[in-house]
Amino acid sequence: MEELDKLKKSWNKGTHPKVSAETIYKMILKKSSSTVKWIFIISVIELGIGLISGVFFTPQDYNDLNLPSGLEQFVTISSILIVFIYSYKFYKNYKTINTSSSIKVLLNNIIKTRKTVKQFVLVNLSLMAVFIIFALSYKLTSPLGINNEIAFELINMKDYFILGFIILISTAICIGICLFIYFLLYGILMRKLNKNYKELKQLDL
Amino acid sequence: MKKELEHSFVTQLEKHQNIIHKVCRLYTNNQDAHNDLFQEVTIQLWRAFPKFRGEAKFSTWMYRIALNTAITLYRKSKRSVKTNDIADFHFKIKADEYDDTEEEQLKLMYTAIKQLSDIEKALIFLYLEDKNYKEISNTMGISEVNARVKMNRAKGKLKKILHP
Repeated sequence: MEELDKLKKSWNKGTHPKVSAETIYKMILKKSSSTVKWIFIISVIELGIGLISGVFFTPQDYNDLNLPSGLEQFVTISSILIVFIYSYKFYKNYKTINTSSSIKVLLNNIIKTRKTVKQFVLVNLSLMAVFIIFALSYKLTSPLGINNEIAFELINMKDYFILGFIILISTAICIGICLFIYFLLYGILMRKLNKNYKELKQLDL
Repeated sequence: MKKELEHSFVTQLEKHQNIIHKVCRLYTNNQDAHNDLFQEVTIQLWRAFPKFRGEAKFSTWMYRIALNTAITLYRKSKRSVKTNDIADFHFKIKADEYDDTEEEQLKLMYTAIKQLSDIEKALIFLYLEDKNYKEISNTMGISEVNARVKMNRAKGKLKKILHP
């Protein structure tokens, strides 16, 4: 290509204002604003929220709900286990991010690291949904669950199920909105990386 | 020890800074964005420098990190504005035989390259840097055959942009 070869000839003759050694010294003291830094911050916040909710949502809270003790233990142990497994996976993947890797390997490692946290959020939300559905069904079907006056007034089965349905729909909407906002943010942050990775990956097909 | 490391890094970077400028030139549209990307590349190079073993040349190592930063790590500066006006930097292209027509052609070429995808820009950059396909495939992380295919496609795309 003629025009490109002309540019190639002039390529190294371009002149740029020289950055002084003093400015370079100042630059290396500055903080990075890279995508990876933001991915790291957001991921640590997400894992942190998971850990905090696992620790502070104690069995005492479950007692207030009068749920079977097996369920309490299952949810507590599962959430703590999930946080530790995913924190380890995240740390391992994060360590593989190296700016001197090839472009494809670097993109792959960043996307893999981010996917770990995405999976963590989805697993946590699924656990939350299972818990809500299980607790709701238990409360609605067990006579021991009816422990206050309002509930007694709702002894009519039809009203009872309407109430259950409303709670279920509201929960689904809340989780849906959270997921929508989350994936919107996730999408913005990862758009460039995914696009470039897809382009390189397509060559292998 | 840290002072020595800093000194060695700054000296080498000062000497080879043109590589970063050339990457910034392809991936940004104005002086502010150019400066931002230059700074981000410098930070990333400095972070990776303690692990630089000198197995590759400093300049070769720089290519990789500079391109990686432009393609994966750099978030567009808020200050950056969309513009195709590439004549507004301090940068000047010098054609061999300095004449206005050639200067104009080179500017058009730059405008066309800026319309390529990030990956295609990286390929064209490595071509302009006179890298062979082995080096290109190593930097990109794709096979030599695929690097050739992708390069031909990028050149074809440039041709279409220049001669629609």
